Amino acid sequence: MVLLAGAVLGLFGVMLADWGNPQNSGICVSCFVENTAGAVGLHANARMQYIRPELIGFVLGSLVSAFSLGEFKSRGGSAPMPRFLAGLFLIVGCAVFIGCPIKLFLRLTAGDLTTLAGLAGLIGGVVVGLRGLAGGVDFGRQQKQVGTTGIWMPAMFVLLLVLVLVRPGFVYFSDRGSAALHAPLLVSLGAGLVIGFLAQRSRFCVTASIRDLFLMGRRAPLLWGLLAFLLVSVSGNLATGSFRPGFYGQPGAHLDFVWSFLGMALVGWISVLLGGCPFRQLIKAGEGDSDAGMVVLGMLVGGGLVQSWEIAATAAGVSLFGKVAVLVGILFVLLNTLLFRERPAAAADR
Amino acid sequence: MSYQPHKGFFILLLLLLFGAGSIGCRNLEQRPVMKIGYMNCNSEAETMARFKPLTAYLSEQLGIDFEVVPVDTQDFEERFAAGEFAFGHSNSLLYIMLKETQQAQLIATEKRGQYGARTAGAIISKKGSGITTLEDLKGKRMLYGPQLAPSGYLAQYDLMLQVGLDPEVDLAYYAIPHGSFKHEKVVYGVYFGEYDVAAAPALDLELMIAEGRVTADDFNIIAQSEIIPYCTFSAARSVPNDLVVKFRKALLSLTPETTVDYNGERIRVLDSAWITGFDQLTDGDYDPIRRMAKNANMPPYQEF
Amino acid sequence: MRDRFDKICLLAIVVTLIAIVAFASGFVRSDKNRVGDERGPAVERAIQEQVRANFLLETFEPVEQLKEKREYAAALLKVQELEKSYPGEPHLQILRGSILVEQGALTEGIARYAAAVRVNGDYVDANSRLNRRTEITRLVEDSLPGIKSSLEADPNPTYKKALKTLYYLQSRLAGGCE
Repeated sequence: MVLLAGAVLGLFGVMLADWGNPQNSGICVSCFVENTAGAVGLHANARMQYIRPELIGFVLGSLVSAFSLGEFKSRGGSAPMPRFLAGLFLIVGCAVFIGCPIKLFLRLTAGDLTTLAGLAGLIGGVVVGLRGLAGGVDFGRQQKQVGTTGIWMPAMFVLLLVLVLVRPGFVYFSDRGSAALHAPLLVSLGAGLVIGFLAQRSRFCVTASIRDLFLMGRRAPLLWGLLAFLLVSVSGNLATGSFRPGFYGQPGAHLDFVWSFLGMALVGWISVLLGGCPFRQLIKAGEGDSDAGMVVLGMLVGGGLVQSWEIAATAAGVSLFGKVAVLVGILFVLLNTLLFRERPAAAADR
Repeated sequence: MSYQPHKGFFILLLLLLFGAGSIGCRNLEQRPVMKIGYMNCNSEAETMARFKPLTAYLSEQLGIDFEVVPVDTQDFEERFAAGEFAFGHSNSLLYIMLKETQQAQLIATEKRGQYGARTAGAIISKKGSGITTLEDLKGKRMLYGPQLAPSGYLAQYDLMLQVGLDPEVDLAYYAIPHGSFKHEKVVYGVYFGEYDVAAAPALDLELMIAEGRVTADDFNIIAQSEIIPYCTFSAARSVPNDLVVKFRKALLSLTPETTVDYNGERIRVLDSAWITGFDQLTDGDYDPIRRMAKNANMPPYQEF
Repeated sequence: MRDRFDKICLLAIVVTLIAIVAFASGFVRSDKNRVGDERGPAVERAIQEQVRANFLLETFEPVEQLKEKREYAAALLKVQELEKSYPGEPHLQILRGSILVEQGALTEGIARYAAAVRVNGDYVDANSRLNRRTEITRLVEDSLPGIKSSLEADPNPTYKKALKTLYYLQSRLAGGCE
């Protein structure tokens, strides 16, 4: 199942770009979140506004899978506010790098060598995050929640589906820029549903694959999913003629390697603390996890802020605001590392 | 009981005295002194006001006390050859002359106006005068800029020669204004109808339009020269290469935000010099001026 | 077994849902006929963008005409004059860039193109009326080899800067999400 999920993610990651999504952005959770935030009016960048059906598909596909297997469980209550802010900073890190961890690998498998700095950062962030977890950093236990609280995040995505279908005048859809580039709605939605379903079943997540590599070595099942993802996306990029190796002139990339590294390090670190990258948070939100739902809400707000405050990087590089935002994000994670650390003595007293 | 100062106190005092002495000595250390000759565009006063802050910046960056030497255009080559200054800031034609006769070393080219490190010359007439082509220049009164001005004289002279018009023969007469601000006087000469046509540098037209003194619609641009490098920093052959490299680096690293302490004020270097930056051109980029000078029989290729 | 309270709640939910559907469907149906303030911000924005594009193309048309006649000096002076009325407008930089490149001031022209694209990505967007994609693609393809070889022959900061700017334009042309 993990192999299938990884392979399907790689296949759609390449093919959606071929079917109309921006180059190397067949699937990019952070870009899609920024697009969706703009569409509902959270930022005014007229080139970045579109409710991406793939996101809706991820959440609803996960919902269908969780319901069909009896795995839908309303749960939450673990540090909601830090999770909300962590979601926001996840998007900050991604926006400075230009892409989420999935897009990092899609860019890499299309020959974009500027991603190597981001990859090093992501791995570094995961390692630091693991050291934190080993040192007792924990946002606290989740609890089963009364009522059906876990349904509200999928419900919000149903509303987004209605909005993208009805297209009321208060929702913005870019007619130019990268948000104007998209695969046909039903294709995007279908791909999202399939990926969401498989990801819920398999628990596949790019960052978790890297995390498990450090925890379990080659025995980690998710690692094989990542390898399948890489294999399929490289083959796909070669087959579609999208493979152009090099550092320069790459689509949606910049040469500020230090900030690519730090942006992705922030993403890796937060992802380990949250138990998954932005994609995984959407999948968990679909299966009733309100904590992941808080992260998703933070991501949406972050999607608005990174555009409104010019935090997001462009091909010209990372803005001063982007650099400051990444450092603030790192400060945020460091503070939480201190505040949420269960120290050995305190644990022993309990 | 009398107070006995502690031994440490004396040691501290000695150290302070030694430190103060060494600082004083450092202040007395003589820094090398070198001179930069700046070509006067309009007047010595203007040259000093424009280039003193830039010179102070270069002194700060290179650890050399540079002095500003204002030089009239026609004296520039002679004084450079006489070794009155080791570095020169001049128009691009003067650079060619220094290069050909004194083996001057190219440092960097100044950026100003829309063309950046380049500029061009134009022949203009008043809108509505009916003078719109180079053929129409025959028998007309023309005003030129100073004779060694690449974009105010040489370029236009060459343009006319290229189409078979000899300014010495085919014009009713031509003149060069007296005194300072010659390029502006040339533009106004046509604007107020004193002359039919004029040799105007593109940069001066651009500046006058930007300041609202004339508009783009006031003139016909009859012809425009190819683009040529703008004002240029060069160094005498005797200046060591590593100093030339440092000088160039200091110029190329100037940004609009670079400031310098000058006369007790912190001022922006480029703004005060009316420059937007510097580019590193190659000597080959100056070949169009060489071709123009040869065609117009002008220095350094003049033949009698 | 649900009690009376639950039943009232369920009934209220059904009524509210019907009301939402009724209003929302009415909203969708009458969409085409709505006028005035009800047309919505997205439509308003689309109109503003069309008006802006028309305005730019019309206002700067004299520059284009001079450029077509190869009267580059006059075109640049017109750009300078228009800049007084529209300071910071990226369309002026695009025009300036195209004239400078035509005249052979390559590095300065490249810098002007990039300055415009940085402010307004419409210039590399095939869907935009301001699109200059073909022109910029040609500029990048034609000048990259020359600048690269010049830089190899002479490690000159001016070429280095131009090469970096060309890579920026190449990256924008390649697309991607930003």
